Amino acid sequence: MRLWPLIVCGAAAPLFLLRFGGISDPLPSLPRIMLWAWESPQDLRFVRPGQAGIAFLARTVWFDDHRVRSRPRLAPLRFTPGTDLMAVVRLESAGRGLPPRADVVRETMWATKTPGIRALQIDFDARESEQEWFAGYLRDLRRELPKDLPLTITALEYWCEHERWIGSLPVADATPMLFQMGPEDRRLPERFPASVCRSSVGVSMDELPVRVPKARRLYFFHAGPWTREAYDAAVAQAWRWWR
Amino acid sequence: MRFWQVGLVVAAVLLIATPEGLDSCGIGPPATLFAPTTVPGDMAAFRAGRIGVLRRTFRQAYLVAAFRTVSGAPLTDAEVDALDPLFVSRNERYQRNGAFSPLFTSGRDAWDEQRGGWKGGTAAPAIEPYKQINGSGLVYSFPNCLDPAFAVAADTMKYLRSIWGENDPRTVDWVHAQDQVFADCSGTEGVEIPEPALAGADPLLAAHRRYQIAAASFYAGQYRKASLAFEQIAGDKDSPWQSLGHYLSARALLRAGLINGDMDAFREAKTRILAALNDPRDEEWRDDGLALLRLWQMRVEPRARLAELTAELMHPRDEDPTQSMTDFLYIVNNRRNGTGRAWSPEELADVETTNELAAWVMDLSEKPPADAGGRALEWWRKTGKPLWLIPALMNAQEKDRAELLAAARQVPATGPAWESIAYYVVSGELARGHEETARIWADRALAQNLQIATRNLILEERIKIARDFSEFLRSALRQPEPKVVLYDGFENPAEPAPDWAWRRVFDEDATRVFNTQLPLSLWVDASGDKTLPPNLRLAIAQCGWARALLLGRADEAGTLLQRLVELNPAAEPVARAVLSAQSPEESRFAAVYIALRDPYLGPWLPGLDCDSPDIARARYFANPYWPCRGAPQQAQSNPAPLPFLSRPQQAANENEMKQLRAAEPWSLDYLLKQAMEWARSHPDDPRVPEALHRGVRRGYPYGGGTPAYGKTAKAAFEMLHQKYPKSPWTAKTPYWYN
Repeated sequence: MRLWPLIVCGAAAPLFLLRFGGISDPLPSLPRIMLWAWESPQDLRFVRPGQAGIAFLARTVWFDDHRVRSRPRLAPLRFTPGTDLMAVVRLESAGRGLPPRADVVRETMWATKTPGIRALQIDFDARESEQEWFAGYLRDLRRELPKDLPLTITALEYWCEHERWIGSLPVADATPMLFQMGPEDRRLPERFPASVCRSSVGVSMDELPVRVPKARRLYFFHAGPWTREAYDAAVAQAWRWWR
Repeated sequence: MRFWQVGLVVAAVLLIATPEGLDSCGIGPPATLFAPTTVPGDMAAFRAGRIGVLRRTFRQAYLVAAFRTVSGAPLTDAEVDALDPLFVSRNERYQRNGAFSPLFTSGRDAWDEQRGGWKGGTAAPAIEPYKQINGSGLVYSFPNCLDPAFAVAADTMKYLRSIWGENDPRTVDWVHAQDQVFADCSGTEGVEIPEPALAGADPLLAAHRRYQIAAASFYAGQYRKASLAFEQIAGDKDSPWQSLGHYLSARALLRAGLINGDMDAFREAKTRILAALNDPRDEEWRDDGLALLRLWQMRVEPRARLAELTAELMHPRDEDPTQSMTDFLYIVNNRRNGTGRAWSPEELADVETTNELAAWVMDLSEKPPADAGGRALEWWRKTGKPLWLIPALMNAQEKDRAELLAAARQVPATGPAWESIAYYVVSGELARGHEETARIWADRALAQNLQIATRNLILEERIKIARDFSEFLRSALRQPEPKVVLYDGFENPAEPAPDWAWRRVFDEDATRVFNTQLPLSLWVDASGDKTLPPNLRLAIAQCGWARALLLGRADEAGTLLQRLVELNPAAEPVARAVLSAQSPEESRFAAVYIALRDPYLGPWLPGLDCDSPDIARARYFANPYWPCRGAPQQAQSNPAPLPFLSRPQQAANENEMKQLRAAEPWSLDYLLKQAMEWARSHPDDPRVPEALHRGVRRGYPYGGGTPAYGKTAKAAFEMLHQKYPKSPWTAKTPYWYN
């Protein structure tokens, strides 16, 4: 009879840990360092599988209120077989209204045809008037995707810090992009209020901040093709921040 | 004595209040450029013959344009307009054209309209015009179905609907077969080849079906089969596609070579192309056939094609030169023969010695041939054209330096190549340690009426060999390039020129020296140097004042504060509060008050695109995480000693840097607590409500930066509302912030 409080506490402990302890990794099968490989010829064969993963721009989707067009990555991406790959789809709105979500989902789905990808990341700087549409699009996309393919997004830093809508998105992870943040100053918190933004942060190699909020995973962007030197610098920087 | 005490206390405050690496700036486009790296600074001057300093990183179409200009045949307006895609960045093109996307999809739009509007059968399937290649460790895609294919299909469907009717079985049959054709564009669902028309079918439907089968084979990558099928169509006088047969047959063979590496097919393609060009029935497709022939030549006979392209590019023509320019640059950069083998040294030498334009572009490219310097010198000796001294100097070998310098001296400063020549002499001599020669050339150049970008580039070299502080300051002053800005990573035209473009400012090299290598005594000197514009002297005085306080240097702090007030009379009230403080506590609060009003105050001279401190202004935000232009990295760097500094000056700077690096990080919490302490003992000080307000308000929306700040902000908020309920500052503070 006296054991039941212990049993209850034991059962509740994991819940407490989840709530108040460290955030569990939403992408446990991916390395803690991810390299964003944008649209230029990229030879990343110097990345050893397991040491870092590659989040490569797989497709760009342009749209306005009635048209949706997309294009896959044309520049070759070379990597060592076995390297963890994440397909990134960039959405570009012309700012003249929004099309039916299904049309954009359809174009996005082409990116999932790449064999071996471990996750899908959507990169969209949604305007305030586009956020509701974006949330709906992500819900529709989540339904279309294979269940075992994690869906993530990049996020404007402001979303993670001040906007609640991001917390309701059906995504495993939202990566705040801590670069090209515009003319206004930002004082970054130790960790973001939105829990979906706490697992990862994204930085650019040419704008490395002095410090970053604590995050399990770091995404590094490099303008133009990655080089071994830039990669080594990214790895070294990651460990400095994690220390 | 009193000033000493005041300075000491204020320094103590700033020591705590000033973060390591703070220069309090945001990062935001557009950013200033002093010398663009991909485009000329002034396109109008460039076209008029002032080509400025040509750089390896320029878009190469500019190198061709420069060669044309200097050769006396500048690009015409029509050529410049046509070459726009090669001159400006993709980013700029989108902005300029308001384009929906970089995809030109009028054909696809037409097909979607036709197919989407057809109610005779199944809904339109999704189409992916690109085919993805997934090898082991390789991913890329290529456009398999080009936009004209969709346009042709749309026209055909429209025509067939009009003659057969919307729901006619022939229309239905054709549409479904066409869906199969376009499914092969991506091929993600496997190969789909339409079935041949049934025996006895409508002859027109049967002819279309033969074409659809050939097209499906083509998109499915069965190029040989497709070529044969198109060839048969070329012989079918009843086919509406007869005139396209030879052309498409040739295209299929070219693709076999380009995509599948079937070089035999690639070579065979020439026969088919010539057949198409020689067949009068194919007249409609003659231009397309010629384009194929040029593609074939470019791949198989690149050096011969290069000679043709050079001839086309060297003189004004009515035809659009874009494709010629694109092909020309492809060949000179690729430098491979028809089998994909890199040109042998003999083949490369043949191009370098016989094709002047190609040699010019190669020598100025980012990957010049190994003997580029020698070849360029030979061209100079042969032609006597000063422009050849540019690549000769850029790629010079040591043994040729004397000859090149002698030649450079003979070039008149008014000549179009002179600015480039002067710059590459200066940078080359400096790289070799020939400082005196570099200095002479730099000073001679700077005495000329140079273009802005050229002047900045030469000053960038000249500052490295400044012999005294005065020379350093003169070389440090730059004018931003007013016609080009860096926006989102691209160098784009600035129309109109930004307001700040006309100021004279410091570039990063000078701010780095100030922040890391100059002792405080030279900051004081610079703040009073009338050769510097007032805006710079003010920035130096303000940051220098903060620096002096942190270093506990009361005399210098006093001098700098006086200069600050002279340059910015609006700062006099806050400065007076510091200078007239009657006690250490009062002086501490005066400093706290200033720091709360101006979060940008710090000991580091900010970069051009940063907000500068201004103690006369009150602002709310500061950003210790995003110092622009890398002040913290500057502070942590260990640059080579400046030759004009004396040993005592160097030692003084080293000591000062140690003290500055040891400064505590910013703490808004600390400042607010100090303000509250002063408020308790001096509740009637009129500055108190504002200080409390600013300490609370600055926590919005990004927090105070430390865990303790929330409680402090709440206490300050309550103090403000309880003790000063009628103050306008209280009314402006409805909440506190964590």
